[in-house]
Amino acid sequence: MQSGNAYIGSENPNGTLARKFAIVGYGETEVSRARVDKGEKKLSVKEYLGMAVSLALEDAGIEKKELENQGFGVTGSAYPHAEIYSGEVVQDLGISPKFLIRADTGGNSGATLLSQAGMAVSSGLVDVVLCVGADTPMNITYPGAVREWRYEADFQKPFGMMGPNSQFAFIMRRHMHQYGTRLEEIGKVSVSQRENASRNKNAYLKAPITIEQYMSSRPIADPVKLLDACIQVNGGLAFIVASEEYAKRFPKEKVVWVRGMAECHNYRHGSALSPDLTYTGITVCSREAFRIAGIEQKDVNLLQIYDDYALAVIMQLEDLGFCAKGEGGKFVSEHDITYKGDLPINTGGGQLSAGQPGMAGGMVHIVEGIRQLRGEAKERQVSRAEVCVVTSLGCLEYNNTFAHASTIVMGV
Amino acid sequence: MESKYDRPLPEINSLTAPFWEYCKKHELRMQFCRRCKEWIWYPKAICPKCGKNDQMVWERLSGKGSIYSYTVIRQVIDNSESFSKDIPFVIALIELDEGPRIYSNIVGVSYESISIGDRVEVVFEDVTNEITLPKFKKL
Ligand SMILES: [Zn+2]
Repeated sequence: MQSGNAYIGSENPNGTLARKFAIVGYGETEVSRARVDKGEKKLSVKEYLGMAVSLALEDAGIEKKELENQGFGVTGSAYPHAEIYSGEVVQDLGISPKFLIRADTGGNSGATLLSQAGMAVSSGLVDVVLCVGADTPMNITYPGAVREWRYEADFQKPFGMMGPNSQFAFIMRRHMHQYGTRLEEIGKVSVSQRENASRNKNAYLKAPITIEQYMSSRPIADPVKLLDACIQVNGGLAFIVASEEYAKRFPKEKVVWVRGMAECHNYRHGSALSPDLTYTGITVCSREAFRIAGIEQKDVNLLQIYDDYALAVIMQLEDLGFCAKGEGGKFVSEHDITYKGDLPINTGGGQLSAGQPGMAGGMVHIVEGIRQLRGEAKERQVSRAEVCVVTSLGCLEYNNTFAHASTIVMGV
Repeated sequence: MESKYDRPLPEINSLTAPFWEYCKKHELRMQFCRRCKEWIWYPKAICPKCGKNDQMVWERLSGKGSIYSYTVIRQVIDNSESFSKDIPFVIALIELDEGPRIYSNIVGVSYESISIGDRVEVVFEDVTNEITLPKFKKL
């Protein structure tokens, strides 16, 4: 892929990327539901953080001492609660950075780390930033540990709102009502991603499913059913962000470039008071990221789309401009979105099948994008992987979709 | 009033107290910015439009609106187990005629008879001595 001038600020007056930056290593731990009775491991969040960092260092082929006096970023963790957290993590890992990030943007946290790390290496503050995310939602044993926002506690919970599954149900119902989106179309996302997961040894759910199994899966909060939703796992992921200069020391085939990236927070489509619940902030940030990268939809070989729910993939395909708003269901039904298809999406199974390691969930998409672009995805490798678009979402709002949205254009 | 109401209750603070006080009087009121002529919901410290708080007042709403979207709760989670006896029940996002949208329960009918666009009206449920919840019934 020719990089051209797409990263240079002067060529892109409104762009957020002054210089290009790279990802030169990644790590992904095994995942678990902590079912000790089934022989699964029950590990602490500290162990997952440590394993993810070790794997990323090994992958990049660098010594830990090279990260001294550089940058470090960590996502939050639902368990245990700690408002001062990044200090404990660097203490545990034995790292002394001069630039420290802690992301609190939910599913978008991995993208927040990437964005801030990219700015830090582009500005010359540091050469390299180690970003890590780990969470152990399956270790939560007391109700007080469940994530809860003030508006949720005061103005949703007294009426019986049951966390994200019920919050997303309003969005799904509205999309089906407004555009006639059919369950069969939404279910195709779940079925296709499970097919991808069947070729990912690290996916928690690997057994193929049929559309009939999707349709008859257990209702949770209508219209959300069990197979509409991601599956929570314990796990950890890491990636190493480098400046253009620092990246030169790595073998070319191990370097993935961030060609464009943009974020959008608290986007409210149409009206601040009464927003349209079928749009996400991807509508805005994808345009900006594509423009900075100098790409159009037709240039994209594969996508890693944030998938806390199957319908979220359909909504974002619309928001990304692959089809008109409301036509995402039809679009999915007309394309093969498996790893071998004409538009591969969530090639490792995504959070729906590989699993959502809590606040590190968005890193699943970033790491799978890196793996595909480096040609290391083995049985699920996409034949042509030169431009990959990754999205992230986080924080289901009151009377809106998601507070956080990011689009990342990655290339080789 | 149920003698032992065991579902989760809101926490009242200086920002949200007026809302719950008016609910106790069976009045549905929300903040309104007179400068922007804009409703504000849920309660906020400043008007999200103009960023000021000097023209914010608690105005009464008609209590009538339409269902914008809804869900039927089929299973509880561990911080809300007390709702298990109510299953299946409906939570709707109601678009009030004045514009703002509020989450609440639709009471008095089975979930099968509910659709997007249904007209609804507020009914107040005094669930404890302190808290009255604004719920909605079909018109
Ligand atoms: Zn105002």
